[in-house]
Amino acid sequence: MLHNVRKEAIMSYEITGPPLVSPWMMLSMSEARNDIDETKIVIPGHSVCDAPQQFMRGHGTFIRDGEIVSSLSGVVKQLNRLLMVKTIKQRYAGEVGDVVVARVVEVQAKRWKCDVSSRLHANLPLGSVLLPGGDFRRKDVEDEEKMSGFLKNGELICAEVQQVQHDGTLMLHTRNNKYGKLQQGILIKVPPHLIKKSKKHFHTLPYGMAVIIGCNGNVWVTPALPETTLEEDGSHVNEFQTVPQDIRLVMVRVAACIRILRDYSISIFLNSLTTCYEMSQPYDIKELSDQETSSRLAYLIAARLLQELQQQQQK
Amino acid sequence: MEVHISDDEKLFLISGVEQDIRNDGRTCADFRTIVLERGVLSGTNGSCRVQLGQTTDVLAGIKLELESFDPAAEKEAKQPMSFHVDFSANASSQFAGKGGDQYGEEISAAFQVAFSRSLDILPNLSKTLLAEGYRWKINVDLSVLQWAGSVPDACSLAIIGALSDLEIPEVEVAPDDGGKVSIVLKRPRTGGNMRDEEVPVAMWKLDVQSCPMLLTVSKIGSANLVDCSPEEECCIRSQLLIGVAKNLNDDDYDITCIKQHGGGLLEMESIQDMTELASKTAGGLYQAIEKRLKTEEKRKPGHSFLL
Repeated sequence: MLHNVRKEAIMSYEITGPPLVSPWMMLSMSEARNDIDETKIVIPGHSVCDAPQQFMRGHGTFIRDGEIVSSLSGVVKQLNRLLMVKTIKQRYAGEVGDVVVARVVEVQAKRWKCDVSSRLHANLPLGSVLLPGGDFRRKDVEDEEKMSGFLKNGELICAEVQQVQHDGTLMLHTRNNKYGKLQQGILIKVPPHLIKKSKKHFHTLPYGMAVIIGCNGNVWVTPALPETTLEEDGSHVNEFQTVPQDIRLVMVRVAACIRILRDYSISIFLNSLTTCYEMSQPYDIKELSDQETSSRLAYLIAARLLQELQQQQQK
Repeated sequence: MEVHISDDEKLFLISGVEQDIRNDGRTCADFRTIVLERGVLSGTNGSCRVQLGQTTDVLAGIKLELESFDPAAEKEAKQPMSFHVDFSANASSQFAGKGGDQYGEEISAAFQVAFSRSLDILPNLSKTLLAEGYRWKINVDLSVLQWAGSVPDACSLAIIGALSDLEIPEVEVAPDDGGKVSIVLKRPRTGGNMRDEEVPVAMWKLDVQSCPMLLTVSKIGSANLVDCSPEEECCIRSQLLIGVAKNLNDDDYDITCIKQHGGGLLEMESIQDMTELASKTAGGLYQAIEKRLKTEEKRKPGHSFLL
């Protein structure tokens, strides 16, 4: 493999001036803008429509002097007679069935509190995790005592959203072998609106590693997808293996690719990730964080993705 | 932003740096990209802003002050610089309230030690001594606007940038009554029809090519790292603040101070390795800074970095 040959380590120190093109300017290339009519973008206080009698006000709007006015900055959406404003950038809201990557922040009685970069911490009830002894085993006091042995503070888990409560709290569950505690890997946080929802969020890439693209904007780069294996006493099998150098280099490159996609507001899904990975091959991993290289690369990737999208639409 | 990181992530990171691969693709001796711009604050005599990897953000400003002192009380000439580091609560929630004060004082004290011999190190710093009992005092104020690890490194780059940007007025010293002196700004006449007050004051600049810098070298696992990210700072076993200054006579690097930050024990041997790494890094940084200071274009007056 190409990555086995590492270039001779040269220490690099680079001092530059402030960038001439800010990543925000590249936002115009993001796919989010494609199907948006520029005239429908509003900021708080903007009037949403000029004929208020014919419409009803929906989310993100309020009535001022008989006029429907936006309370958010985003795009106006119309559903029959209902007008609402949908924000482009916001905290993760959560939908049932979403795959999320969450960090445990608190162990409470009968549940774990998890940070999913939403407005509120999500709940993972003790009853919603896989414990040894089959699905229908009753969770007793003994299990409650062992909770912090099972998942500690600061540990990362992968879970599915089971329910969204009325105040926006998410209820998670890990009742499947593919969910559960995450072990070695790199976590990259991206804004949640960049994640493109798809059927699959677990991907084993052909480069010898895997990624989990959490819908809440946490992307997990890992040597292999988690498979919960439990020992008799309920604790995780924790065998520590050093990740071999070639796989580690691929992981670091994929992580760098995700950062490029994040910095230049390109939506993140399997195709964009592999495209970015393939196109990053001529460069050293170190160069990918370089302003000039990354902006050029991001431009090319966005152009390629847009082209592919248009071809698909023509078919 | 407080950083939480699980044990498995730590293991991955530590075994990574031992293989010389960091999570962002750097090797152990690499710095993140540095952005340096000078002349960012109009209300100062010299200023500089330094960003490390688009996250750690430090602003340095220098104010000059004409100080009178008692020469009899000072056995040895005191170096005229004083440092103050302030952490903005916006940088990280851990600095809210008085959270950053202790760390700030620690860094300023380390800078004070690293610069203690600067009268010998900087070739023309002694020019700040104007007359018996009078000197320019150089007040360096640093503000940490954003925090993402390795603040002292960013601070020392900002200090060098600000010192190179610093303009010190030339003065004329004339003897006055009672053994005192009077100090007047020097305004060289170049002809033309101007009143005396309108002639611009002559300025001189410090030579910073040997200015001391303070570098952090951290031990993670068995590896030594420079310029740690917040995740890496969670895994640090022990950290040294090493002051390095270029020796202009033999093109070598002098260690001006070593201070330990945080806990952890170190063997004598590893301290030696770490200081070696520090002087190597300093070599690269001196070159990079010299290049940047030469090529930087002057910012238009009135344009601040906020724009």
